[in-house]
Amino acid sequence: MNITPGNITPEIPQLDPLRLQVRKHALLNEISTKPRRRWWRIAVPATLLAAAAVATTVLWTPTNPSAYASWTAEPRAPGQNVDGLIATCREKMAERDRVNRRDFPDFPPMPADLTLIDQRGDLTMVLFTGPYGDQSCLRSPKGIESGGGGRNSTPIPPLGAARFRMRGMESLDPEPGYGEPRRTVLAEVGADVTKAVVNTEDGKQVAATLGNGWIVAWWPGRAGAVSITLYGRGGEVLGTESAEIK
Amino acid sequence: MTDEELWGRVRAGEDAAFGQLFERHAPAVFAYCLRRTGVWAVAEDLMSVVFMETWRKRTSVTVDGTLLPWLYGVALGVTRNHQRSRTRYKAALGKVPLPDPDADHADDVARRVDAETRTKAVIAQLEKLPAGDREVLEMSAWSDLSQAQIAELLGIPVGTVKSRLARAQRTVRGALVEEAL
Repeated sequence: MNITPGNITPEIPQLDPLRLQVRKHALLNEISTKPRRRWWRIAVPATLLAAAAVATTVLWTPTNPSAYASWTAEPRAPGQNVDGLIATCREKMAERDRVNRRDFPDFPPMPADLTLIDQRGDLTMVLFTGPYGDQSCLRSPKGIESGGGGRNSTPIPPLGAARFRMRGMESLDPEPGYGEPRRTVLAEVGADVTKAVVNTEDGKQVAATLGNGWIVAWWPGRAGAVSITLYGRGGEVLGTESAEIK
Repeated sequence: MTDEELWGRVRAGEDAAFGQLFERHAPAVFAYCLRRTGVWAVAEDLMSVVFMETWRKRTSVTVDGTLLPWLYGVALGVTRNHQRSRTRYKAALGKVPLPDPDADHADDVARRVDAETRTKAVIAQLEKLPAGDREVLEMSAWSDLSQAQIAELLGIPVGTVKSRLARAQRTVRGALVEEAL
């Protein structure tokens, strides 16, 4: 005697069509309310990036020397002269915040904590974080530019016991005259992570700057990040994380 | 309209297309969840959870022909620990109106109770199997998926599906025969 699917397949009565409709409407109600939480995070940066992209396309010419000529895949210790950059970045963020609040009075508070300074050649990036999001500025030979970052409408929960959480993979077309397109990866990491390397679509391996539970890495161009390799205290690989934002 | 076409609309943000996919596949998902859990009300909730999870992951899901393999995969996951799955979506499930007790016909209630009794008897037999063998056997018996699709869904080689299925069939056949005697 062979077992057939019927032996272990008990007959199931049809779900009442009315009940099915009740479930369907509850489902549709639920999903139609879900995207609002992330509205700030997506809509505002997207608008800013789109505006910057249009302006860059109009004004950038290939004869300009690259703003990122001194960029390196390995960061180095930041120079002494970062106070001016930090102050200017705060001013730029505050100005952007004022503009945002004019249109959206309930806009979440701007990030205020200086979290990381990333130095690559003569390029310095500062990262500010806060309960509602993050913001960065880059100083290049072309000047200081506030770009990248985003905010949630509700506070983001702490990383807790987790080892890794992607927070952003941004594609930025800088303001006119400030440089070329670049990509930035931001993530939170646990205390056991001592080094992180971002693997990009075009084969770069970009070592991240790490501190205060965060990593930041950026590179010229539009190639996205594929994964991030995390290393422990002994130099051992702790794991490789997807660059996908969950 | 095919699942692929509807899914394209879902990814473009069209909620109504997701509603159509729900109507099309909810009965199959419900039957699978009921056979896995043996409790009608739990299976109804899990059916909703499967679709909420699918919606949540819509940007990363690609549909090749039919959405069913994906739905069965999610259903397998949520029924593995259905208490946790329902807790995760507790707020959403709490908004679903309860069935009207006055509208229930005695025949319908009896059919549901019979179905629960039958599924629980089968579950009692299947619980004797290792989880991996059990899931292959169930997916093979309760879905229209091919062995290749089951292999992909479970993340195992097709050969493993075949061997687990054969082993599970031998074990369950013995158990059912023994019960019948």
